[in-house]
Amino acid sequence: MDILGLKEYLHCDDAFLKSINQKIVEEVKKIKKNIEKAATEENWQTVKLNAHKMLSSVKIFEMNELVSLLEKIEINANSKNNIPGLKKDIENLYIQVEKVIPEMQLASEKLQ
Amino acid sequence: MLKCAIIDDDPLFTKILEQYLSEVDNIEVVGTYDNPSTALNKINFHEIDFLYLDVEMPGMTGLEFLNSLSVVPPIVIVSGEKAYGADAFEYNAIDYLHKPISHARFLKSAGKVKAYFEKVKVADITGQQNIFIKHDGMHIRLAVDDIFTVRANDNDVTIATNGKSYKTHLRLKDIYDMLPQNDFMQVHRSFIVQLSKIDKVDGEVIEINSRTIPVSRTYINELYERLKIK
Repeated sequence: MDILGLKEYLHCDDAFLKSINQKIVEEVKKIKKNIEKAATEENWQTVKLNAHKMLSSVKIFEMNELVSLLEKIEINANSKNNIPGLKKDIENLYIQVEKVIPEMQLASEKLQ
Repeated sequence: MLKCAIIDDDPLFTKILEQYLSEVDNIEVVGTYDNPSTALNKINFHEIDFLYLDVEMPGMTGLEFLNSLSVVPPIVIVSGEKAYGADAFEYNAIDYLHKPISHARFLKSAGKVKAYFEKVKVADITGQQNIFIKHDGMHIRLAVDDIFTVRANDNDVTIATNGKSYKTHLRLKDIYDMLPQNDFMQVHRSFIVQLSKIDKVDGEVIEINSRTIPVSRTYINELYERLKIK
């Protein structure tokens, strides 16, 4: 995660960057919960929509591993072709999210 | 000052876009909506100049939202998917922004928006106005100057130009609101005509391009006055 690169990308000050960072953390947590609920209910359309929504949040941070995983979930949730694989990817998503959130929070704390 | 609204279910993008727009002269955000259904009920389309519109949203997509409007306002389409470029073209979008959007890319887009409205202003001044109507599932540009008559039918409206006629599901009033009031006049509950296209006036009947059109008594005095017939 390159917070300085993001600052340049958004052309903003530290205060705005910090608020964006916090917003992303909030969104990612919220969307993760939505995906958990939808996956339990096997509501794959909702999984797809939420994966899509999380994608636009995390793309800005260039979290490539998470982006690839979300893209895969979005495609498979839409096609419903490989539900066991999809479930496995969703489990992996939870792990990834738990990993990146502290990183993002740390980056936020470093800002003024 | 150009006024815009943002329709996007992604609060992060909305926050970034609002921040970007706050640094741009002459563009003001008058409303943000996280779903098209709310926007449909709350936006006063006479108050806004253009829209930033996301495509993939739950419930109703941005494209479904546009299809539900009788008059499509100028739009900037924003999406996380590259696949909607063709749709943006079909809806005559001013620009198509692929998320995430850098500040540099946004500034280019804001420049395009301003240039678009400058062009519209010039067209207004020179009288070369156009309107967009939905005909056969597509949005078609019609030069206002080419319109002879607008006729309300049972379920639609027919716009007649010199060589062609176009059916659209807009209401007569919607079309009337889009046309320059100095040049057009409603002469009957089912007819709007361009005054400069009238060839003959015979009592309560006018002739345009060899077609006769009735004039209601309600409108006859105003018509004679506007045509300076004594």
